[in-house]
Amino acid sequence: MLGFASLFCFTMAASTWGEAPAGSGADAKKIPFPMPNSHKGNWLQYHGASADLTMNEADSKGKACYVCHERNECMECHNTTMPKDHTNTWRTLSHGFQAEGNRDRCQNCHRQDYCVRCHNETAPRTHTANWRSRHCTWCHYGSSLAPDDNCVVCHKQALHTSAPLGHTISPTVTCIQVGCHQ
Amino acid sequence: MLKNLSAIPLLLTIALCPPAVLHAASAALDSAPVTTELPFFRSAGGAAIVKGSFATQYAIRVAGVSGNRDTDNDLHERLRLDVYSPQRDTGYELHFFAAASQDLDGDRNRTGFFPLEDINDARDSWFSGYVYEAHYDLNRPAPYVTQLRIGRQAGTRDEPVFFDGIAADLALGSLMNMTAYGGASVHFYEIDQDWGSDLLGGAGIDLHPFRSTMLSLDYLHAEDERNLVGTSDQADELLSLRLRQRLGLFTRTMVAYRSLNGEPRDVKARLLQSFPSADLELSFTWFRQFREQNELSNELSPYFDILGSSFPYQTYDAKIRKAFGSHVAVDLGYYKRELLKERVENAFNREYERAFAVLQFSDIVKKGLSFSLTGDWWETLDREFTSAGFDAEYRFGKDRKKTRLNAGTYYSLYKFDYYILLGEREKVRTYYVKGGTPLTTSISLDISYEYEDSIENYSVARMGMRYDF
Repeated sequence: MLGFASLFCFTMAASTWGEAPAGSGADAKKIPFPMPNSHKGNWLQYHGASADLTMNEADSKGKACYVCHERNECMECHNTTMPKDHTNTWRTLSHGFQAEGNRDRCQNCHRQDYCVRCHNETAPRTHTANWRSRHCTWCHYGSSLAPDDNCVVCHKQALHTSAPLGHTISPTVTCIQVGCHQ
Repeated sequence: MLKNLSAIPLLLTIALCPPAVLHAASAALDSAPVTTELPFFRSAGGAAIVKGSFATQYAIRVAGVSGNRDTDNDLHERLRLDVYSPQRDTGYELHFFAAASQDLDGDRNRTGFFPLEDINDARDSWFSGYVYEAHYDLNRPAPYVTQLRIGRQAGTRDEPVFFDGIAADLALGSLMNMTAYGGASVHFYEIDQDWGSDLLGGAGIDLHPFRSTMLSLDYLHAEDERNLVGTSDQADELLSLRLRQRLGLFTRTMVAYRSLNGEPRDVKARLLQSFPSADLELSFTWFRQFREQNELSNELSPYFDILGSSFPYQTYDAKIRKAFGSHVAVDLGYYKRELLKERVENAFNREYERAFAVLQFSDIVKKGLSFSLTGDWWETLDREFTSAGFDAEYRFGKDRKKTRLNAGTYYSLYKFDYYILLGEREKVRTYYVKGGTPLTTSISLDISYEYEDSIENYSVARMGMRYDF
C-alpha cells in the first residue's frame, strides 16, 4: 500500500546531516527504491526547503540527499524539466505577470541571460508586418513620451534614427499635439 | 524544411531508434548493464562503473492564432553519463550531462512574431546544444583533499553557478570542510558570451562546532564582461554566512545573511517542523532584501536587464502538509511579498500574494490509482490569477518499473489591466493525457498530448524514449 502513512517522519530522516546512515557512504550502492514516504504526493513543492536546510556541505558524499541522489540530478532537473504551469500561454503571455510580482521564483532555474536571449532575439506578438507604422502610439500610450513598460523590456534605447525629420519634439509636446499621430 | 506532416513517421524513427539501438548494443555486450567494462575506463582495480541515460524526444506543436495555423517540429536529446572507478572512495569519477535541440523546420526569420518561438529558436542556427557538466574528479588525491573536480561543472555552494575550471573539497579536521573553486564563467544563453572573458571564483567553509549545528561561510567573486548597449562590465563580491541548527529530532532551522560588494544584501530564515504522530509538517520562510539591486553580474542579477531595479522587499512563505489516514493528504500554502518602501510599486516591483491548496487521494478504489485537486490564486496591484485543476494517475506494474497513465485538466483565469482599467480577462483551459511505460528493463517510452484553449489554441504532442544504463 502506498498511501500517506508516516508521510513526514521520513522528511527528517532523509535529510540527516552529519554521519551517513548505516549502509550508505561513498562505496555503498545508491538506494534505488523505495523512495521515502516524504517524497510522495506534492513533494516537488517542498523539496527546495528541505534541501536548503540540508545540503551545501563540502564533504556531503553519501549523506543527506546524496544517500540516494547524485549531485548532478539537481542541476539536470532544474535545467531541463519545466514546471507544469509553463504552458504555451505562459511562454507568450503570463510569464511576465509572474516575473512582475515574484521574480524570486524564476531564480530557482533561470539566470538573467536566459531572459535577455529570448527578449532580444524573438519578436512579441505585437510586432506584425505593419508594426513599424503603428508602433508609435503603442509605445507612447496616452500623452506620455516615456515609453511603455513593455517596450523597455527589450528596447533600452530607441534612437528613432529612421523616423521622419521633426521627431526631435520637446518632452512637453506629444506626438498627437504635433499633429502627426492621432 | 518540413512542409507537411508526412515526415512524422521518419521523425519518430529518429526519435525512438537511438535509445533502442543503444539498448541492443548494451544487451549484446553485457547482460548486466549496471557495470560495464570499457577499455577507456579500465583501471588496476577492475572495470569502471558506468551509469547514465540517453533520451530522445520528438515534439510537434500546432498553434491556431488569428485564423492562421502554425506548426513547429523539434527534436530533443539528453545524454547523462556518470563513470566511477571501482574504488570510488579513492579513485576517479567522470560526469557528463548535455542537452541538444533541433528545430526541424529550419532557421526562421526572427524579426516577426511566431507563436511557437521559444528559447531554442533565439539563435542563428537551427541547432542548439548545452553542455552542463563535463568534469573529471579525483577522490582523495592528496591528504586533506577529499575531491578534486576539473572541467565544466556546476557550483556546489550557495549560488547557482556554472564554470569551466577547478574545484577542490578539503577536509580540514573532523569538524571543518572547505570547498574552493574558480574558472571561466559559463553563461549558456548570454548574447555577448566570449569564453574566458567572464570569470568567477570562490570558497566556502562548513564548520560543525556541535553535532546539531552547522555554520557556513561563503565568498564568491564574479566578473561579467558586458557589451550590450546600455550595459557595463560588472565585478561583484558576495559574502554569505549561514547557520543551520537542528532543534530536536523533528525541528530544523536556518538563518542566512548575505552582503554584496560590502553592503548588506539580504537575510533569510527557515523553519521546518514535523509532527510525525499527527502526520503534519510545517514550513516557514522569511526573506528580506535590504537594498535596491541594480546592474550586477549574470550570476547575481535579479533580472535587471529585463525588469529593471529590484526594490527592497520582504517575503513570507508558509506551507502545511497534513495527511488524513493512508489515503488522503492536504497541502496548503501562502506566500506574500511586500515592498519595504511605500508608494514605490511600479511595473516590475510589486506587492504580491499567492495561495494554493492541493487535495490528494492515493490508492483509493484501486491500488495505484490516485487523484489530486489543485487550486492556485495570486494577486498583484492590477493582476489577478485563479486556477483549478484535476489530475488522475494510475500506476501499475512491478517494482520500480511501472506503467504510468495520467489525465487531467486545469482552468486558469488571468485578469489584468494593460491600460487604464480596461479589465482584460484571459481564460485558459488545458487538457492533457500522458503515459510512460517500460519496454525492457532499461528502455522506456513516454508519450503525451496537451491541448490548450485560450485566445489562441495550442496542441502539443510529444513522444520519446529513454535508455538507462
